[in-house]
Amino acid sequence: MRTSRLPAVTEASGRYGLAVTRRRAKPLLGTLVDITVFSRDRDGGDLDVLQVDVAISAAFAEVAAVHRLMSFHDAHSDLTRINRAGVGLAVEVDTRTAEVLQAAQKAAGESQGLFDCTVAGELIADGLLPAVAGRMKECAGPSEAFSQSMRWRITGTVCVKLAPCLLDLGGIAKGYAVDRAIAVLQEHGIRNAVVNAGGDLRHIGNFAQVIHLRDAVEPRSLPLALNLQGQALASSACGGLTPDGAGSRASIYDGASRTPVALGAHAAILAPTCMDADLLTKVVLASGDPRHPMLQARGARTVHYSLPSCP
Amino acid sequence: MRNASSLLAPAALVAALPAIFYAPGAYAADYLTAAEAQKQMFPDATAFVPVAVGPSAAQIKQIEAGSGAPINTAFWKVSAAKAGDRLLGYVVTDAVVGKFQLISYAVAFAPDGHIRDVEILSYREAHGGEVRTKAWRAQFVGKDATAALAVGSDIANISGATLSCTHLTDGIRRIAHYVQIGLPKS
Repeated sequence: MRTSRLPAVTEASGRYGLAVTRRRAKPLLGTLVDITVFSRDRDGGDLDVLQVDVAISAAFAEVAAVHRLMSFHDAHSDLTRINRAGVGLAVEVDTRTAEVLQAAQKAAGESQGLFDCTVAGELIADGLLPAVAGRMKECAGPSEAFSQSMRWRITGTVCVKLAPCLLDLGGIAKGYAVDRAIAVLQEHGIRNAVVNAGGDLRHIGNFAQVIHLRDAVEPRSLPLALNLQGQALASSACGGLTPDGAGSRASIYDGASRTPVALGAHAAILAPTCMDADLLTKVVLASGDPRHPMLQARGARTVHYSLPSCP
Repeated sequence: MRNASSLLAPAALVAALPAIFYAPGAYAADYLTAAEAQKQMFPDATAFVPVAVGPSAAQIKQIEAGSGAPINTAFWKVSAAKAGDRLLGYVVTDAVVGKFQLISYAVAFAPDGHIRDVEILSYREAHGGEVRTKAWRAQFVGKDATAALAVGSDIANISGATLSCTHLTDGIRRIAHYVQIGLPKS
């Protein structure tokens, strides 16, 4: 069997004699997406390295597809087509976009508007998202006549705006892309893997992996570690986390009050799926409640929650 | 200092690890070797022929104007992917330096200069300014990555910060301009 040149990099691989067959990374979703596939399952069968590479390539292609469909920046994405459409116009979207929009719609209802993917207007006003051509008026902030969850609706694969609004799926699509990558790996017969999209990650397999949690205030510090097995972990911090120091503004908004979450607030959530983990970090940050009822309902829990120090 | 940190998971799940063991900033990951990456990107190639990186002064000016940033070819390595005599495309490897990270990567191009694929080869983090020193960067260049960093090589996955890849996308853009301007199309 051919193995990569990697030393055994995980505690699990050392403990159980698993060899790392392949670890690859590509720049996608605005970050590095890292896929690790382990060569041996519990039955001891070695996976062929070529099969593993085919599986990983297919998983990356799926992540790229999700990126293309749901990018706020891409002029041809489903999301941009929705954002450019007028109120009342039916926009047919890919089943994957529809799945994410349905999850966003459900989460908006369950969180009573705390999770809201129409805060794009606020993010544009703050310079965190680029303006959408021809739709600048819709960046003006909350519409008086509509509650946030009523501004748009997804039915099947058709999205309709009910009020002027701009959608941004930044709080959920990355987690969904990780889930899709895991699904594609499984379709290719992979049983032990980790997909990590810049810190939002999911594990499958028999052997737990140690995940280190980066400190929100001091990104070079890794104060916590936890075992991840068959679950997803997502972290969100409000601004201030990018290694280049570019994230100095609040990047997460409370959808109900349309006010930014405190700069430096940080939440990490364990959940069965990465999309749920991803969106629940926003709910916890926006509500300030690390035991928000949505967590238990989705089999999730907060593993870290911190607020910035008072000035 | 933070004043409101809480750990809500069971102790069995989360363990605060001794900070001295996991020294800060030592996260490192090795992915494909350059040879593996080019084979992955051009599976039909029968040979990868090294190409001298030599944009002329005029070409450098043109690339810098096109990509909007000064270019540094120090890390560039260019290979032509060939099937017999036929040119399938090019693979360019490079490394970019962030504030405390160094990413090496490979970009595959079609003969007409369009980007076909990108693979990350390795990712390294370091303390503050260390990443900008020549000695620290030298550990990357031409070195067998099995000689991993002694500290932190057991840190396989990190959550909690979205890694910025601005430098990477800038680097890819510069190389794309170079391939368009500096390399033959057939």
